[in-house]
Amino acid sequence: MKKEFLSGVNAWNTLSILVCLLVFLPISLIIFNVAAESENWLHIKENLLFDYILSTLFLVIGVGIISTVIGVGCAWFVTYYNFSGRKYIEWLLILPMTIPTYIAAYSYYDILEIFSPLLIWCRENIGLEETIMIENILIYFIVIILFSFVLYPYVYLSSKASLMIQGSRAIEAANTLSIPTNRLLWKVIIPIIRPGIIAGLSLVVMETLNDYAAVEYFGVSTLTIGIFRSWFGMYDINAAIRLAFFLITFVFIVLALEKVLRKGAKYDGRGGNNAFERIELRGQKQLPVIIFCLAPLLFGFFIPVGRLFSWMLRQDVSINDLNLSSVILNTVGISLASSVLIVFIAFLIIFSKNYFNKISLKKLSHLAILGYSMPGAIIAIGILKLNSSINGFISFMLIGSISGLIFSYVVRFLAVSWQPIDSSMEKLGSNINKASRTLSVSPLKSLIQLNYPILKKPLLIACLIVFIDISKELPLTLILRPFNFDTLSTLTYDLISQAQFFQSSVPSLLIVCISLPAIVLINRQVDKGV
Amino acid sequence: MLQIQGISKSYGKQNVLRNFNLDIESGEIISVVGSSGSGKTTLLRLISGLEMPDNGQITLKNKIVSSDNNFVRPEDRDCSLVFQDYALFPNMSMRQNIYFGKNSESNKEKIEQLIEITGIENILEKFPHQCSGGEQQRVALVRSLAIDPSLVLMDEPLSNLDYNLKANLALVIRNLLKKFKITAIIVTHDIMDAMEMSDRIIVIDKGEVMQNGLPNELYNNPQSKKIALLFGDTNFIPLEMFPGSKNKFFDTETNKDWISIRPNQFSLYDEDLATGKNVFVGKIKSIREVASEHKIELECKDLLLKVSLSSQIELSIGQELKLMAP
Repeated sequence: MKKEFLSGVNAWNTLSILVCLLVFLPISLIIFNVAAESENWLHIKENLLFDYILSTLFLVIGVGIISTVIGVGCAWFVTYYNFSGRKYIEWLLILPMTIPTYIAAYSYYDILEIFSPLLIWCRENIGLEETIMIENILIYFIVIILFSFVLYPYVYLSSKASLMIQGSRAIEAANTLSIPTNRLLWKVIIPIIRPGIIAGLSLVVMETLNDYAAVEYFGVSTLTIGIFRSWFGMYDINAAIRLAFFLITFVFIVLALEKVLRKGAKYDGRGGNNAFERIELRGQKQLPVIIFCLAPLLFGFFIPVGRLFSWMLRQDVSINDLNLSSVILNTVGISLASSVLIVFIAFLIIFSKNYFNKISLKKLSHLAILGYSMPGAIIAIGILKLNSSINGFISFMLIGSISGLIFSYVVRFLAVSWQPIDSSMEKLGSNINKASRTLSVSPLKSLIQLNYPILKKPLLIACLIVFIDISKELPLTLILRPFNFDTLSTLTYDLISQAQFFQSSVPSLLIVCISLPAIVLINRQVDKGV
Repeated sequence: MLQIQGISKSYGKQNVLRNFNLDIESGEIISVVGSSGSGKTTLLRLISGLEMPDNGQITLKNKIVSSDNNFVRPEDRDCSLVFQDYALFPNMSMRQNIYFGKNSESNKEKIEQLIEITGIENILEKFPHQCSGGEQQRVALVRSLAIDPSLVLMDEPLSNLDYNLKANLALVIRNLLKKFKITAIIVTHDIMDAMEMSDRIIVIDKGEVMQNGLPNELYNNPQSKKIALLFGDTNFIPLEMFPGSKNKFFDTETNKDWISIRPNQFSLYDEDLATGKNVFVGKIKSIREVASEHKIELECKDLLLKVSLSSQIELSIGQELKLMAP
């Protein structure tokens, strides 16, 4: 500690440390207030908590397994084999990323009707209680499948990247040793790309935990639903905090598991070469592979978008009735302002961390980027608690205000912008900034003339990713938005709440349209190695 | 110019430098030689201020830059560092790289001279990725000198270069440093690079100074087997076989006195020149012809000596050979 002070307290570090602490504040308030009294806790504990935990576990495990199978399978097929349309399928497979889980769920709102004959038969032949049980199982099954079809691209992208970077050499080596494909996949490839799979899988789990609207629509009582009910239904913030604490514990277990399973492994770019010879599949042999790759694309993108599109054409509500222009302006405006601010903050902290090499800032920055692991509901509750704690003149800035909403986005999405900037800075090597220091260059000059021009592309990518995430975000916006402030996601949610499925198609499709070009651009840049 | 008194540095349980002392005069070129992990790069990072020592004091130009109660940041130290990977700024042309440092614009005249001496005039508008390793190295050197530092630190400046480039650049570096009377510390694992560039060589191992002396002193009078081996293959001969030898050393690992004779220090016995030299008689065990030399294994009493002789001499296995060496 003495050394930290000896090496000089400077404005860059102090500011960065303060920002890190501020960003971590809402989450820390939940941890510190977990023991606060709650009048409804006993009821929740005795009647609801077990269900909340069990539902969350079922959902997370189910979605995790199916997303991994789809994601790794597709990544393996497009990397190892060559088949008709492979080049197009390879990039089309990322498209479900543009669809938030709640929009996918709404687009399949009537899916249970398919199973009506089965349920009627069950009720008549097996019994009412058993039918209810079967219906519940069906609902879980549907939600798990739905989530998996839109969330698998996280696993697909990270597995594909690992296969390209680390697997290509192994595949070439195995080809020269005539190792059978099955053996190659299970004994060589899967162990090599496991860190990549785990990284993608942890994102799938976080997204599943974060969802509120889809599980609410299908009546699956997860911990996130519990938090919302405690706050909106019972106005009991302390009960919400306790449930949020359970969810945080859950998240920490996932993060710890990720660390253990990855065993500290990182992407290793050595020997990266994606130009190896793919195995050619011709005629009927390629059919199963094409079907495997097209199925998630069909159910995760084309069917939802197709249905939304057909609803949009069928409904007779004009755009003016939905006040769409102001909603689009709100969405784009707040997403743009927040993403620029978030990227600026991330850049400032990462630069300070890298330039001054201070242990205190390195450690604190880990806390600041915890937000993305935390579902929006937790952050919202943390900010509500912060608001009630300060309860003074600046409290008006937090709840029901644009500044409060932007602050909540900073807490939640700082980590999203962090990853591309930090990894690019790491790739660049710390010697660049060290060289600048030994040339007696000021930090500001180094930031503006050296770091910014070099990191321009990763900064833009970070900005785009955050922009997409914010324009899709629902739980945080729903709780913290100012009165009468609608974004495309809250408008979709409101319309669905009023059972106006056809009208909801317009804002839903607009969310997809906003995300689509950005995701294609990001994918291109990632493929280029930016 | 630079005094290092009792500095230590450890990373976790690993002690990288232990109670390290060093004194450098103004204008001196010092090489610090050691194997990987010996602590030489850490030493440079401590002097430049990129790391803080656990203990000890560093004084640069009579100003304490690092001690238990004082630490001057790298940007305020007046010493520049040439990195092993050159650390050229990829978004800038070579000229912009050179003129990026503080006050470099005011040293224009000197910088132009440096550019001319290092022969990089033609690549100034190119970007680092468009230049060869040797060119990048020279630009990194000029960039570090452009801010007119009191001390230049160089981390393995020649390690990424091929053999021909190395010899040429070693000379360029030495001439440049001497012309501008610049004090420099060069870290290298290659003692031959150190021999070519420096006034004094310090050999370190496991964070401690093993020997500190003039290049020829180290070559002729290594103070341990390890140091002798830094210069390449050699024969260690117990001192008791030739008690009168001058080039003896005490090896702390074996607790014994030895003399070191390199394979190329042997020559065929010549009575006229043999005065004061050690004489060896033995049988040739094996011969290998490498370029213009015979590489011979000579059985001599209990020793198996490695000897290099000109390939013009006719030799055969089993032949008796009488040699002399200093």
